[in-house]
Amino acid sequence: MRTDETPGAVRRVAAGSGRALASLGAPLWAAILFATIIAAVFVGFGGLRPASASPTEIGVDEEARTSLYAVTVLDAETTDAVEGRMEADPGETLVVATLRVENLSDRPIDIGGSVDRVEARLVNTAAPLLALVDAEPTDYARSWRTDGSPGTVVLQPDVPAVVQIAWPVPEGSLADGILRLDVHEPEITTGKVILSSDHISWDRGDLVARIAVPVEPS
Amino acid sequence: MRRGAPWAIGAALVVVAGVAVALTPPDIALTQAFSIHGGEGDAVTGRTLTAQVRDAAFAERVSTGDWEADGNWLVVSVAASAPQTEVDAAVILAALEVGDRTFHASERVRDSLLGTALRVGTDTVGMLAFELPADVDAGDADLRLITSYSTPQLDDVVVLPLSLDDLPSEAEIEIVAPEWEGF
Repeated sequence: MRTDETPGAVRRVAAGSGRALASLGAPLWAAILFATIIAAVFVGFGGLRPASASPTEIGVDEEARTSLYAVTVLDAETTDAVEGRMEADPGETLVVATLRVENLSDRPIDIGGSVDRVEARLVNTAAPLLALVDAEPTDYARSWRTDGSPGTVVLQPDVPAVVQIAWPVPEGSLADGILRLDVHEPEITTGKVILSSDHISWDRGDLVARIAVPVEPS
Repeated sequence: MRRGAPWAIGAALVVVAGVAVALTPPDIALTQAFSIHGGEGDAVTGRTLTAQVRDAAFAERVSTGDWEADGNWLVVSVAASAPQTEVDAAVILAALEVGDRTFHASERVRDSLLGTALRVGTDTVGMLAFELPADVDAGDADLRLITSYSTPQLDDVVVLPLSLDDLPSEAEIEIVAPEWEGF
C-alpha cells in the first residue's frame, strides 16, 4: 500500500479544480452573481409565497383604491323603488348603494356605459369591475348622482363624486343583511380588429378588495 | 471581408429597424380627426362647426334654475354656428385638454350649449361648464368642440386655445340658456 502518494494526489486534484473554476471566466461569474441577486430579490419580496385567495375586506367609509379608480361605500339599503329613478319588478328588490367614486385616470368615464370611446365597465357587463357577491343582478344597474343632477354619471379625472348605484336582484338576496361588493383592478385593452384602435376598455383584472357593509331595509 | 464587418452590418440593421419602428405612425393615426386650430379668441371653422371663445371664468359654484353645485368650475362662453348645413348641427361633446388630462363639459348642467341646434350665418352664444379638480387653475388648455357623440375619425375638430392664467374667479356663475346673437 502506497500511502505516501495520497497528499500529492489531493494537491493535484485541488489544483485541477482551481484551474477549472478559474477557466469559467469573469462573464460567467457575473451571470451567476446576477442570477443569485435576482433570485434573492424575488424570494425577498415574497415571490415564493402562495397566492392569497381571500381579498382584503373593508367596511363602510373605507376606500378601495385601484390604479384607475377609487371607491368608498357610504351606505347601502334595499328597497322596492327609488322615487323618480327606478322601480323593482315583482319578485325583485333593489339593492341601492351610495358610493364616493373617483376617476384616477386621465380621461372622463361613464359609470354604466361608455363616453368618447372609453368603456369603464364598472357595472353592467358580464364581468363588471364592481361586482355584487351573493346576488346576481336580474337586469342592468342604474346610477345617478345624489344631488339631483340630470343625465348619466360621467366622472371627470380626479374629481370625486357621490353617486348611487341600484342593482335589481331576486327577492330574498342578501339574506344575511350584508352587501358584499368586489372591487377589481382594471386592465386596459384597446380595440384591435373589430373595434377602432382608439377604443379603450377597462377589463376585469385582479380582485383588489371586498367591501362588506350592512344593508338597511327601507 | 474583415472579421468585424458582419457585426457592424448587423448592428447597423438593428439601428435601422429601430428607427423604422420609431417613425411608423400608430394605428390610430390612420383614422384620427383633423384638428383645426386657431389663435386665442379667433373664430375657427371646421367642416361642421364655426366657433369662437367669447369669455371664460372660474367659479366656486354654478347654478341653473333650482340646481346648483359647488366645486372648481371653469365656465366658458362660446359663440357657435353651422358653416354649411343646419342638419345635425350642434356641439355634442366639448373636451378641455389640460396637460395630460381631458375633461368633458359637465353633463350635470342644464341649459348649456351642449346639444343646442345651431344656425347657418347666425351665432348662438352659450355656456360650457367644466368641473375640474382643485389643482387645475392655471396653464394652457385646448377646448375641442365636437359635433358627434365621440371624437370623429377622419373629420374636422375645432380646437380653440385657452389660457387659464389670470382668468377671473367668481363665487357663483348662473348658467344662462343659449341665445341667438343679435336677436
